[in-house]
Amino acid sequence: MGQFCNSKIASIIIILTNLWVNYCYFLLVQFVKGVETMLKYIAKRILQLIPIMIVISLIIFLVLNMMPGDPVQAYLGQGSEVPPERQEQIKELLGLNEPLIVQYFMWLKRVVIERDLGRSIVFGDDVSSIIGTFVWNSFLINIFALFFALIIAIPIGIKSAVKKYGIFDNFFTVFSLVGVSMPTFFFALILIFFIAIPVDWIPLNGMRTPILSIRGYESIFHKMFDIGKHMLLPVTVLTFTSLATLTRYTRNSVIEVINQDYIRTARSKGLAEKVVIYKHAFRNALLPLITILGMWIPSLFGGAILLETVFLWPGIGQVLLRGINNQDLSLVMATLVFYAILRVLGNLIADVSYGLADPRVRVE
Amino acid sequence: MMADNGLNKQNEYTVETPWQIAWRRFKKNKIAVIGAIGFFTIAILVIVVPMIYAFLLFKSQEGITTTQLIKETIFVDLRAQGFELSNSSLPPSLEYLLGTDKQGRDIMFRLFYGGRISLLVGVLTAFITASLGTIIGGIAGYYGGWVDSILMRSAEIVLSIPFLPMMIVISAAMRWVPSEQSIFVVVFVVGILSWPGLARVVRGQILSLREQEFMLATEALGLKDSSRIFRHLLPNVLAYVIVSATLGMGSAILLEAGLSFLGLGVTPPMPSWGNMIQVARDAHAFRNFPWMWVPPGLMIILTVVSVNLLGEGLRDALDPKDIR
Repeated sequence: MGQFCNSKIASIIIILTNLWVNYCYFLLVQFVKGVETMLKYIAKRILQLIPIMIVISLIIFLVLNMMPGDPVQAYLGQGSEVPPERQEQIKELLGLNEPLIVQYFMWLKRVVIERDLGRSIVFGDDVSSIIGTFVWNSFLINIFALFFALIIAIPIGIKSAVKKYGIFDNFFTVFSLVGVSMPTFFFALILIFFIAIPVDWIPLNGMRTPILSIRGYESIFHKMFDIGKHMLLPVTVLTFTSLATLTRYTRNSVIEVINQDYIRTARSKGLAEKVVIYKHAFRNALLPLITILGMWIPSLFGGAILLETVFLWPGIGQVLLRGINNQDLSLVMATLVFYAILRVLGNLIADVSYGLADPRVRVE
Repeated sequence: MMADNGLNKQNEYTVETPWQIAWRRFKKNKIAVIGAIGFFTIAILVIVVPMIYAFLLFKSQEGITTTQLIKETIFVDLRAQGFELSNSSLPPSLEYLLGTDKQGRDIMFRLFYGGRISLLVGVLTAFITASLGTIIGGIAGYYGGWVDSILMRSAEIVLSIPFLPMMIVISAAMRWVPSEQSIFVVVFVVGILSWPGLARVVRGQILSLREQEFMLATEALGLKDSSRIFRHLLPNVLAYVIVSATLGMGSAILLEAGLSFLGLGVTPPMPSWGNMIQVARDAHAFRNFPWMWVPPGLMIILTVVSVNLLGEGLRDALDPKDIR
């Protein structure tokens, strides 16, 4: 009896293991297939992006060359006493006498083949290393703002959608209307005027306390604390402006989902309202948010230019403005192309993650 | 007699045109009406207040004829540069309601004169963006084929251009334009970069409208292309275009303010709300003379809030899907 039992249990175990292994194998194959199609899709999209990027960089190049002023003069500095014939030689050497289209392809060749973005006049350093350093400062405030905006906006959006046209919803409708209609830089100025000036320990602008950045920080925590203090106001402004749009988007997409049939089904099954909202509605409402985030992050970076100006935050926007004011063409060119890549990649990431999250739009 | 009565009854039945329906629905929407009132009040104020200033200034001058006075009142211009040089940086008082700026110019006057500029930029930009978007989207949707793919490819390219950075660069490249014409630089820059969004939507709508029966009817009637596009297709997308133009006006005002704040949009001495806030970039003025930069900022918020309310109201009123 025991023997029989044992063998039966053993066979059941074997069958179950078999099933399990088969199931895992099936999942694995599906996953690999999914990854394969996804990779193929991404590769296809990136291939399509190449001509677009070339045209965009050409447009940027032509616009930049419309800027008044002589690049050689800008490079040598104001009032330099280099004789005109020598300047002419420099021009010839740099290929500035060639037609614009030839110059563009020279630039493209240098960037793509030699991986050289040129040298910045203002900073006296390689453009790629400048962008590499400053972009992290922009990234820092943007990522924090995004984080706070998301964790605040999603609950607010859901709550306003559930009680549509209630007091809560109406309050945030007005709030986001004002947020959208307010110039970011003006809001930043108001915050500095009414918070940073009266409150001593909140810094007006900059990223580090000047004296500390010269003398050096005592510890890594000290540094983090100092930078965090400076980030307080910029992150508040960015969060506020992002909040204004994000709450609206969340609210509208939740409202759209709530009116669907499957939500009615869930309710008629007798599920608790909480389960209906957070398990059935919310997950589907998130889908449009993914697309919006992908397109919106690059514009967040671009839009932060004004904010960085007000707070003198050493981000990529400041690099761009300084480059423009000093006719630092290679720097401006690289920064703009960087923004363009960010934007194009944002769209791509939005599409791909949408496909990952929503099986209905998975590409064949 | 009975039959006659029946006929009369039928004639009494009034048909509302789509515009009448929209107007009725718009009037019912209180928030939209508030937005419209706010916007038109601001528009009237920015037109009239500078005129009053000019009138008062010139009336007291000796030897000015009535025609000259009227002319000066209507075409207020050089006063934008320095309406009245008095003591600089005066705080608000009874004489100067909002104080004076660093050059001793009356801020109240500059606020309203600058409002003209800002609103003008908004209206012109919205007009240009809407017309470019409608025309390009309409052509792409109506003709299809290679025209469509070329136009939509270029829309895609313009959409991929980083918006604000590119605007900053183009305005910087056109910094040589004198102050009076700098408005048109802003309009041009914003206009050529913001049409693709609208063009895509218009194209999509035209594509679906083109396949409907009434378009088949126009073809059967042998109407000309121009009549089919302008009389039969475009009126159907007009509602969307109006809404997007209104909302676009709000964002154009914001963009102008941002550009001018950086010193790239409307350049001084011509005032605009954006370049009046530019004072705040100077730390001393920012701390001590808030009356120089707070009022224009508040005006921007007020205007854009009303424009957005108006736009949202129009969107609800003009939505053909939602017939009430």
